Amino acid sequence: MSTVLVVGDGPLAAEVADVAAAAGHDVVTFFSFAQDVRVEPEAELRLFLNGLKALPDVAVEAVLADRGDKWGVVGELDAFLPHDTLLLISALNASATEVAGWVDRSERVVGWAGLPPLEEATVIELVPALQSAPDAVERARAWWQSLGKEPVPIGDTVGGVWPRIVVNLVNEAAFALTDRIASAEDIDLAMRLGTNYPRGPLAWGDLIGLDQVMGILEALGDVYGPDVYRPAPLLRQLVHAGLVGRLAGQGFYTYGEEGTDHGTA
Amino acid sequence: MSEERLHHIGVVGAGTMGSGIAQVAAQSGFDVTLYDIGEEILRRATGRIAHFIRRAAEKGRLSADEAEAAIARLHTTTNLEAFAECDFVIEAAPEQLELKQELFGRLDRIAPAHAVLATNTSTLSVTQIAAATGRPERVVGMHFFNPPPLMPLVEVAAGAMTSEKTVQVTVELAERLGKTPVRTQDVPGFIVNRVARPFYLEGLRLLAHGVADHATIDRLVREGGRFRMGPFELMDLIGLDINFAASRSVYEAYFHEPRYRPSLLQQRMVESGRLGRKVGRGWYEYGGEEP
Repeated sequence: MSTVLVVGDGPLAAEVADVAAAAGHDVVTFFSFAQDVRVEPEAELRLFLNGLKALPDVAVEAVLADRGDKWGVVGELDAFLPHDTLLLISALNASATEVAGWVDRSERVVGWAGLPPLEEATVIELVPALQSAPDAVERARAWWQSLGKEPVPIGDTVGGVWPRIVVNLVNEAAFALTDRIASAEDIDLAMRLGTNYPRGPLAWGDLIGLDQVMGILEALGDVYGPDVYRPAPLLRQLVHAGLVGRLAGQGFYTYGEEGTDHGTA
Repeated sequence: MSEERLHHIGVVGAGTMGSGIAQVAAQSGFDVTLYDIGEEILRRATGRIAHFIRRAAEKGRLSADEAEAAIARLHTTTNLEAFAECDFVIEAAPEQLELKQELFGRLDRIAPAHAVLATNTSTLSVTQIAAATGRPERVVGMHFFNPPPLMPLVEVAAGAMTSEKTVQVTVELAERLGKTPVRTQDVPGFIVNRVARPFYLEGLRLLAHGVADHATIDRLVREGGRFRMGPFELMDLIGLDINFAASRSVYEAYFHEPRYRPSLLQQRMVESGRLGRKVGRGWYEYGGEEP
């Protein structure tokens, strides 16, 4: 078992921490969720790292809403953690190769991709960077296996494979809602019953976090062209208002004490 | 029109969708008149429907008496004039605009003034079909999914002139048919065929960009995203030609919106005849020998 540091800004990071703790790892977390008042996460992270009693063997990063924050956080991790700490960075809003290029010890950086609900996934996407050392990739593989997730290697790009499909379904559903072709409930119901999707795309977006969805879409737009990956206007509006989904109590739906749910937009 | 007056349903077209809809309506207690152009098509359709209804009875979903009563409620005709008694007509003819407009023009003259005329189109404009009638406020989209007896969803699509009353009547009818209706505006692809586009198109882009092979993409979508099927196995099931045509039609209908741009890779698959399960090969090989 290892000591694991999980750093992130949304439900994905929280889920990695939960799954790792459930697998018996010692987990410490540093979260900067969107609804918190944030003053430069990297400065806070530096204080946090200085106060750590046990230094982590593995650091997992999932900062998805803001690439500037991701850059700052990964830089702090590389600068302050021991040289043999493995850096598992999310290749969702930047490629593993790009992130590895931000730091001095690029060879210990290995990418990964997944999305909530991570508990239900039996696989994790393993995304080696061009700079990743073979033994770092092996350690990454073994670590994900220890979480009960089978690592499946994919080519290094932004958004992974299944997360990329899901965020685009969320975006398309958000466009449909922006265009007012149907209610949020009817869009989700139609996709569950008409195509057997495991959950409605709008409810799924709320679960992932709309700021996270938008961060991934914007990164895809940077790499593959903004015309295809342009976030829906309503998605942008909700993110600007801090209504990022379940975590904020409101997104496409409003979440009351009982859990859910009425469409808001 | 009040719901109580809705007893008799006319169905136009005895293909898979039309006969499935007729079966659901007869099983739900409605008198049904099923129209098609040839006696032979109708004979085959009624044989199929009776078989499915009796099989549903064998599985205990209804009693043997109920099954025979449902079969007795189903009538067929090659004469559209028989729809003069129908309270609600569901058209499930081939997806050709001119054919549907011609049918709706005739239905408008034949069906009672109170009758709603619904189209089961999945790709054409309800508004454009309604414009062929003198009662566009009583024309509506009623999109069933294949096969209608098993798929619970019905998209109720309001055209530009469709009245709220017509939408309500259609939603209530869908519920009496044991379906779950959702309301949508008359936009290309309605909800499902539009919102589902990225499932296929993003899968195809991932393949085109070399991120993973098709089998790996399918596996990750199933075991990571927990979808029942991945995009490539689903394309094989639907038929690559059908799926490609759907993408193309949505792309054209939205005036070449880049998000819906069809895949060149998929076009080459279609051109090479690898259409999926129905021909034994698509993204995957089915039975037979490996090439």
